[in-house]
Amino acid sequence: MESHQKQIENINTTEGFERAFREYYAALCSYVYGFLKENEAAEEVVQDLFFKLWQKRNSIEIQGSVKSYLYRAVRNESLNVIKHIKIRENYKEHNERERNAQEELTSNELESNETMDRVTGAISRMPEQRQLIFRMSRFESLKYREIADELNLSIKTVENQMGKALAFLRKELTDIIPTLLILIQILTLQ
Amino acid sequence: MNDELLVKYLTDNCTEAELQEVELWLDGSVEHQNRLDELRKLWGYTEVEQNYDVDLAWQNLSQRIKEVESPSGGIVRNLFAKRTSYIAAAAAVLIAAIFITNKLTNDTKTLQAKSNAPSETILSDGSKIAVNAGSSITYPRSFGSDQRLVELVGEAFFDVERDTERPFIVRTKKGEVEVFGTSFKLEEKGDSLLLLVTEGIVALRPIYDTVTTKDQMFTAGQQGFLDYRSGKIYRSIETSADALFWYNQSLVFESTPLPEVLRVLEKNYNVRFQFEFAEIKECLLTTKFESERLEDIIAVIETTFGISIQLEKNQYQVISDEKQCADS
Repeated sequence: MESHQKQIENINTTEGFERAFREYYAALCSYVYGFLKENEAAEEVVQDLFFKLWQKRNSIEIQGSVKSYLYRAVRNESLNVIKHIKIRENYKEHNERERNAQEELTSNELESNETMDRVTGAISRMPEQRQLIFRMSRFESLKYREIADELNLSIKTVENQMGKALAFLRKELTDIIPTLLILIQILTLQ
Repeated sequence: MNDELLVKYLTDNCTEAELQEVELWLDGSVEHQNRLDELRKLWGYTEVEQNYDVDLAWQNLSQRIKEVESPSGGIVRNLFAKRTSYIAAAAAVLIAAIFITNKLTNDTKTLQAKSNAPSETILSDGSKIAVNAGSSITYPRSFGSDQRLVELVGEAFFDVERDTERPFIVRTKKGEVEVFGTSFKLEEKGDSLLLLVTEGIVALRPIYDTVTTKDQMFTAGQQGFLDYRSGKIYRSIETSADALFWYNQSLVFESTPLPEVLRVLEKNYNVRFQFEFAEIKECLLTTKFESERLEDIIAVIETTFGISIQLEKNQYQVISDEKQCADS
């Protein structure tokens, strides 16, 4: 929630730092998980970031909001990790482990996890650059211009890739979007 | 109309011209609105935030920091250690106090906002609720293990902490809303319940006596309307410009005719506008204002339409030499 961010900006006090940690931890871990597909690794990346941030809290100058700084930092670190293939070799085995773990859940839980799995799976099946552009728009809420600048692309490319991303997701997930659209009664409210 | 343009619209990346193009297309037919709705829903579904044990993580991190800052192992106290012991001492006293007062209040608390100002509170799970003037919310001191239930009379904005184990349920006179973690506004008015979702996915359902019926799902940007008398739920893409003004001073205009814009400003800023030319209703404004001073909003309107708005005596006069709005 944007309006509460104003309180959080002061990360060089223990209160401010802890507040920022608690506010953004889960979302940042989920963002990293999207890249690394590993919960432990995701938490490690985020905790490392905060650890380093605490070390340099008095010397660092953050341009823009703390939130966007954190997101950009974990995104870059995630891409770094992937580049060094630390996770890639475990990915296939990990997938097996996760699949087995899923089967142990109760039927209630299974439904919502299934949806989330389908969604994360679909996102992961996109070509690398399209996936990255999508994630930066969806989870970091960056404007096309910002994405284009950070990745050194033209805005046209970003627009194009975003269109393709949604089209792809729609095709992959068409059966889980509920059939509400057929039953909608639209009433224009005065 | 292609996906690319619709996605630009959805993510707020459109130019003025593109905005108008999409809006025009949307006005064209219900089919078009449905298509945008579907895309919006899809966008909403890609939210993948999971649960992590933040408390444990914070413990690990503070421990790690402590170890680096006092490697000798405990003689030098650092900020983190000091704070933790202070909290432990205070908590003991606090727990005793809560225990005593709760014997008197049946374990639930009520936040009643005064008649002239909204009021905010944070619940035991970290969820934040802002209650509008005159409204009230009733909630337990701490939530049980299988759900988080609160009761609302009036209007409030909810920012609910994500907890997939415990659904967060807001109950009103004859309606209910259920979420796992999102933010939305609920407004009960006479025989109806209005829901506006700002983030995440929200389920809305009517209750008859104690039987609840089928859910309708709403995602960010959507508005739901529950008619208590019929139990029917309606869906609308149009929201009133000042739906969240009391909460964060935001005004949202989407191809809104200028007379309507002025009416909204009159209502929320306590001023009056006078305009003389009929063509003013052709002037459409599409923009968001958040916590802006009235003077700045007026300046934006003047510039957008090439008109002049001047304060004369106690009213704002809207003047256009050409008797029309400039093409933006």
